[in-house]
Amino acid sequence: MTMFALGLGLLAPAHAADTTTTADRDEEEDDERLLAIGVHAGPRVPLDALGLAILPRAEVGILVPNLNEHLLVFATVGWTAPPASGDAPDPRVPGGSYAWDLTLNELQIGLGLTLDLAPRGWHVHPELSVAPQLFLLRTRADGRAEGQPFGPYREEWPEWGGMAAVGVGLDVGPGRILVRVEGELAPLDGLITGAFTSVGIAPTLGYRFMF
Amino acid sequence: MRPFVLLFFGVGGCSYSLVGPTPTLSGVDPSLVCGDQLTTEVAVNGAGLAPVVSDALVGEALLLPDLTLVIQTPLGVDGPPGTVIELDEAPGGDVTWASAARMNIAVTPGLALPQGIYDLTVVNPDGQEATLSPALAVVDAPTITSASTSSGCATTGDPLISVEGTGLLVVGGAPFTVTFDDVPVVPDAIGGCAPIGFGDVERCTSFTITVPDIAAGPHEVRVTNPAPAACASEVAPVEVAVPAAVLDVQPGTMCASGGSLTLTGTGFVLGSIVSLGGVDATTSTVVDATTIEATFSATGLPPGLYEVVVTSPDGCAATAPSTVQVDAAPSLYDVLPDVFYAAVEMDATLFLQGVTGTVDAVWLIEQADGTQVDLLFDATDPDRIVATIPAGLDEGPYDVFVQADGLCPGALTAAITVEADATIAFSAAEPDMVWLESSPTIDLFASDPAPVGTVQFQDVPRVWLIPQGTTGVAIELTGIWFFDPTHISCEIPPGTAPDAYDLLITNPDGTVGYAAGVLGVTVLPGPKVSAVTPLAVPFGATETIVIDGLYFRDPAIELTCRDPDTGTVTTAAAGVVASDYTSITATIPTATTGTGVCELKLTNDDGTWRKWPSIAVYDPAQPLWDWAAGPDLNVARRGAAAAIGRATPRARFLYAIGGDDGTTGGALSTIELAPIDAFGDLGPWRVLERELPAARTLAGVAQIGRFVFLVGGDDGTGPVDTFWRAEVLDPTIAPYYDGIELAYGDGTALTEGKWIYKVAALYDGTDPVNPGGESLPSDPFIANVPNVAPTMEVTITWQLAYGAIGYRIYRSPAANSASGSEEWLTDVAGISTLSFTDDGLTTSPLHHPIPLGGLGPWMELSPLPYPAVGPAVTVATAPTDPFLYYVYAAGGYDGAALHDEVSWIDVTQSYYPEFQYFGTWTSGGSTLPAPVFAAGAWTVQPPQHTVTAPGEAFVYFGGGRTSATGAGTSAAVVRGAIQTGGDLDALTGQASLGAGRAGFAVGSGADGLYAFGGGGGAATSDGIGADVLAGGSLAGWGAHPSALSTARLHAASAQEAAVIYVIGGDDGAGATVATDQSNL
Repeated sequence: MTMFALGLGLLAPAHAADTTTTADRDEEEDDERLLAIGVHAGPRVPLDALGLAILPRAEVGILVPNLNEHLLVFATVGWTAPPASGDAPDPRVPGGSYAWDLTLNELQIGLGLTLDLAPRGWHVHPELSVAPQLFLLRTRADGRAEGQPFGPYREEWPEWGGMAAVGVGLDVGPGRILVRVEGELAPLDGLITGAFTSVGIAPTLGYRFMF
Repeated sequence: MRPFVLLFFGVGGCSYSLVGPTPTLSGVDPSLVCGDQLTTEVAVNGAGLAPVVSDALVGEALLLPDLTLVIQTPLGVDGPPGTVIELDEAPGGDVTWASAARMNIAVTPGLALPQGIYDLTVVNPDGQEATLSPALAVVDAPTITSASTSSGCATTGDPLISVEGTGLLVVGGAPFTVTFDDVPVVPDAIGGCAPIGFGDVERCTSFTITVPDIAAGPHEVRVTNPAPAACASEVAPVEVAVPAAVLDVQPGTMCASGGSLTLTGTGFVLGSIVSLGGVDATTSTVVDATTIEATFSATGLPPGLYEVVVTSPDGCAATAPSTVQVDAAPSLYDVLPDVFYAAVEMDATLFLQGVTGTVDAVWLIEQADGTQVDLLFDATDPDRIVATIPAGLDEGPYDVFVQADGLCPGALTAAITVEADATIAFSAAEPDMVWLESSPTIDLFASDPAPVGTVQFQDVPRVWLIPQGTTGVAIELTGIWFFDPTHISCEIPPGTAPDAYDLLITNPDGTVGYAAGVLGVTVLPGPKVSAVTPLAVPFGATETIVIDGLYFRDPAIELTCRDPDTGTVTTAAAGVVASDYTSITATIPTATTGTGVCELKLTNDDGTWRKWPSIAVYDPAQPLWDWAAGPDLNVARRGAAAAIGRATPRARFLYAIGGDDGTTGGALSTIELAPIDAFGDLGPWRVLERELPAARTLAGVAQIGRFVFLVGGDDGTGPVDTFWRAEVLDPTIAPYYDGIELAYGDGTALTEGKWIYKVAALYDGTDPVNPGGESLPSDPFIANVPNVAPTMEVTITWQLAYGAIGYRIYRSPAANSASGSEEWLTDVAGISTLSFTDDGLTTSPLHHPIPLGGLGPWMELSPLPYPAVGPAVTVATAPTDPFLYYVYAAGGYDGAALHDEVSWIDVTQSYYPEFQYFGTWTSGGSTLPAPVFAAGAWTVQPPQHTVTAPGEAFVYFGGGRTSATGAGTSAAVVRGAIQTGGDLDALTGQASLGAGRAGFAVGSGADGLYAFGGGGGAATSDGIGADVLAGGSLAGWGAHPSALSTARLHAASAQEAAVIYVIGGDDGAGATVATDQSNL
């Protein structure tokens, strides 16, 4: 499937394009899909001291049977690497101050639920997703004072957090085009970063295959 | 949060980790710092010294690598090894970061680093670390503990300032710097330096500096260590004294013997010492800063002008502007005696030097209260003033003064001591009557143990005789011989007037002994005994004896007898049947004396007396007493020769000569002797310094007069035919004391104290008596050298010893050495050299004086007809000539065969005991029944045996080994009568020994012959005896009831009067040291 194809699917009127009979739909509805695989991407807009970063995410799920595809149990993996930098005075280093920069790599692994809120027969599907996530973190940091580099440090550690998303899906092709807004939150405690709560919002666009 | 393990996707960790650069350390600069310095920035060099930003998102903080110092080696008292010093990396702390290759440590006093050598460890924030060992040495600032002027002063030369301190560093050869009054000075010398064990760094503890033209007053010295530990010490004060100045000295003259001076001037300080001509004052009293009073005892300075110098404790010296004239004074260097008994008046001899005219006065000053006692004196010899010390003086020390020629008095401080109590436990003098012309020796005894509050003799006391009938000089006795604390002997000087004398004895510690009327000197000589016959009489009846000698004048005889078994001592008077000037016939009440060994005491009608050891009263039922073990030899000896020697009539000795260690190959050349007391008991054995010319074992032995003869034997390599003779040295022909003088000299070794000299005569190699030998030593010459400067010389003078070609001088090796420790000092040549001046020569242990009883050199006489091991030897007096002796030797082994010949040599004894004349060995026609060796030989003749008639003399040979290598022994005994010329008539068989016997000891006396040990040619302890019948025949041999203390083979035997000694031999296990004795 191409993005062009997805666009055609989204723009098509649900009923005008529907040439099948009610019996056919009933037959289709009786033939529920079980698997869903989707990808999303969008910018992570920080609500903390970190900088802007891309947040791609993939998910794979199972549509719970006999619920007319209203409940998806999925596993998700996302990644983002927001940067940060700064400077501070310190009498112990040349020039009396130093500058620093870091990049916080986050690999987010979650297991969640998506609830399709659309009534039966709709081609537009508002949905709500939630998932607790394991954040596997790596900070790369360095500093300098009067041009003298400190030397690079790498800090790694895991944290627990969570993700929630609201969006709407439009049936296109074998799946749906999804527009979502994700929110993620994780209390982090690294030596380099210090103890803080990572909070970010990511508007994403994606597509979910359903089989 | 640290969850359990999950999958890792390459962008995050499942567990916590922090990883940064790896640090390394390459060095610190500087590596030596002073902990007390204000701030020393120490660069820590390396790589990967990486800080890390922390809490970057919540307010930054920078984490620097941790730096830690650990004491590896302490350099001070604080901080043991392993002490950890965590440096403060916080802002404002001890550490800063310059780059990944360098950090800095600010070493400040506030850091309080203990002195030491440190290791440095850096730990990055991720935990990676590196250590540099050793990295840094920390020392404290130097300190000055003392600074003083050790010599010199403000106006005399350049003062040398000595400084003691700690932590004075020398780094790479560059020493600390010194400022004196803020002016740099270079140390003259630096001392007490030792490496600290880090780099080329030393720490020192002292130095000296010389500061020219220094002014008196306070000064400052400071030390700064070299960079990089360039700490400076505190300022230390140095006080340079204001120099003293002597403006005047009064009086301008002083006696060399001593006096007082008063010095006036400025700047005198306590502890200053006044000297005159380099001689320090006895006392220097600083009255105040302007006056010093000085007193001098004997200065020893010759007359002349001398500078007066005051030396302050800091070494500053000031010289008086005028000199002091020292006038001559007689030098009084000794006073004898130096201890006086307050109860008697005695004369003292004052020894002086430098008196050229008239002696004006002699006086004492009692040290306790300064009382002056003027003395009467005789200055006929101005160098030997005799002054009378009156009785009744207070106890205590006195100074002695002599004024002569109207000049300064000579003085000797504490020259004499007066003692009021006589505390020496003197008990007796023997003899207590002596002849004025005999120069006799008397023995003095002290009570043993000494009663409470008294003492015995000390080594060496001094002894004086104080005449009772005449006033006059106490006579000091010479030749004091210290035997032990209970016994000394001394010589009565020739010319001692007939009188009764008191005795005064002074010990070296000043204790005094005094006894009134203990010695009489007589006009006529006392009795002198030369022979007593018989030497043994049977118990029961009154027996008659004959005493030959000289100077018998209506004598009385007393016997003191001791039972050897019980030790009971009995005294009885002998009856004098007849007497004349040379002979006494006396009767002995044996029933009163009991059995035992008796000492005779003959007393003339004028009280002179003499003792004679010894005769025996024996039990006819048992002619011999039970054997008693005597003292052991020093050296185990088999086949030794035993002989008796009388150095004097009462000084008797038993000799053990040569022998072997159990085999003839181990033949010995050493000689031992043991003294014999009045009752025949032996004292301890002593090995003589002079040995035989060569080893001898299984030799025959004979005695004639003062001489011992050694016949044949084995020298360790085989049989020899030698015939040797040695003299028992006569103490009466030793050099005799003739004076001792002390004088100032240039010697260096005769320090204060007692020095003992002895002189022995040396004889030419052709001397007929003592060829190439030396005499016994003289009695001791005792010099008490006073403590005077310069040192003294001692001159000893002796009388001519007849026949001497020179003299050997012995002296104690050091002042106050014990009597008997004398060593060879030197030899002086020439018969007319009769004095020797000792200026401090060193003695040599190569020679020591020959002890009483010592033997002269062994002279080789006419050889035997053949080499003979184990000849049977005996000696007899010619029946018709009391001055003619025959020495018989029978049998023996020549190395190839046994012999049966009987040979003899004639020896003619001169009227003078030291002269003998010899024939040559002759083999007679009579022969032994069979060739033997190790047989026994006996002589029977008057006076030892009473059954023989005058003119009768018999020689007996018996036993012996009949094979040189086998075990065969003979029991045969033969007898021959001595014919004119010495030959024996035909040897006739006698009662046999009963069983074969060889290598046995023999005895003869009281009409009996005896044989001990050697039964069957083996080591046995049995003994047998046979009576001699009238006409010389033997009754049968019977067993002796008493056994030797040890089984013996080839034991030696000798007989003195009535006592038989058996020594050494082979006890079956080898040569033995055991001895036995018994009595007829």
